[in-house]
Amino acid sequence: MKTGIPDYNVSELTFLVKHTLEDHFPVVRVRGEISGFKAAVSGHCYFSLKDEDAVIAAVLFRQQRSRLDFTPRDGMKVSALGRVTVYAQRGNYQLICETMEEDGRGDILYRMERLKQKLKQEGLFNPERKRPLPPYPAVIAVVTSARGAALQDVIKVLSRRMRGFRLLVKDTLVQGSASAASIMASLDCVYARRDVEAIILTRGGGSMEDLLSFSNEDVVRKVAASPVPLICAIGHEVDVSLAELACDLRAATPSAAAEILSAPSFQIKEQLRTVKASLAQSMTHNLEKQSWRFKACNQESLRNLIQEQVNTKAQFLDTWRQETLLMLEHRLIQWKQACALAKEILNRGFPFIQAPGGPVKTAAELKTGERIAIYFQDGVKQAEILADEQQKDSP
Amino acid sequence: MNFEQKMKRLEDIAAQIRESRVDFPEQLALFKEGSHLASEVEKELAEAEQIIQEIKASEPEDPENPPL
Repeated sequence: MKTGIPDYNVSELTFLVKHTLEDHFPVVRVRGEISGFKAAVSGHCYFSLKDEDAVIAAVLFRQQRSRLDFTPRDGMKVSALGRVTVYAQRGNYQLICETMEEDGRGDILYRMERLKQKLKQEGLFNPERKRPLPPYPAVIAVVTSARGAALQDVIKVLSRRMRGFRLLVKDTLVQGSASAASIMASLDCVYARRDVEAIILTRGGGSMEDLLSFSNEDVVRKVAASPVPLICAIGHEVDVSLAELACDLRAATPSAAAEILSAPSFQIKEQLRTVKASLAQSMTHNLEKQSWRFKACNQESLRNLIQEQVNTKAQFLDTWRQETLLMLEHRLIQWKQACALAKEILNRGFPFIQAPGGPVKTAAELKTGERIAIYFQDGVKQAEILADEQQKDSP
Repeated sequence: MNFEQKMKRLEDIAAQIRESRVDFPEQLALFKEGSHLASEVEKELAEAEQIIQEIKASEPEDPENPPL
């Protein structure tokens, strides 16, 4: 009987409803609160999205779930992107989620992602833009809140591990709507200085909303334009801000930034200690060597040397005096003996002949014409040799 | 005259006196010169020792590993 009323079996109707729904809602974004969240052994998740007046079943398959940057749980307000379909076996319709964002963050994250892609295309995040940190910076600028714990952490670590550097602190708003402008102004101020060798842009952890100014396009570009290496340490791990991608080095915490910056100084301190110890040792050794060398020619040594020379001279004099005296005494004795002998000879009546060359013992010593003195017992007579007389026979 | 030159001169003077290479009046003159040089060298060596001692004494404590 024809009534004009469509006539289907269950499968046909379900099939039609499924197609109608799927054709009408191929892609939808649905906002709601998660409830009855259940993760199955397979890894797929089943839950409901609800608001004050309605509920819709939702499925998040394992592959899609693994791409989320948060863990969905009951009570969480989310914005799910997906398609509406019908689960024929149960006769209910449900939302198959492709992706899901925490509500409120969606737009921000989307805009941030767009900006990130744009800046990436421009090459702002390129690894080759990253400069090495100066090993021993003499002047370090810290851009942060003067009242924040981040600054205290940086000061604590740097002062423990480094010597001989100046820390410039540029008090900066790092939270709230005015913070982007404040960060820009502070960076401009620091960039204008010629003595700054490294910059730490830092703040402690916070919610994503707290840290938004670090992903502000102007701030990110300003960070990328730093004339000297800039370390970004926004105290959190999960949500990387764009400033951290644009800076030269990203550190997980303010302390970590200070530790990285002070690492060469810290290491060199250890090396210096060793070098200094060996230097002192070598110098002591050298000093000992020089002292030994000096011992052979110091005041005392020179005095001894000259004294030795004086002594030698004095000894020579003494010896000379002694020897001369002895010799003279000896001569005197000889003389006395000769005199006594001569006297005895004279007394016996023998004269004694003296030539200019000394006493005469033989006739051959005298030549004709030579003058002699003849000593007698009672006086001296001068005489001259007249002639040689040949003696034929010996008496 | 630097330290090494002074030391060399002193050693030379000592040798000249010791070996009597020059006559006595000249040895005396050398002795006078040497005495003057020797007091300078002595002062320099004392200063050097002072400096080394000061450096050794100024060994900074390791803030990471303070002495027990």
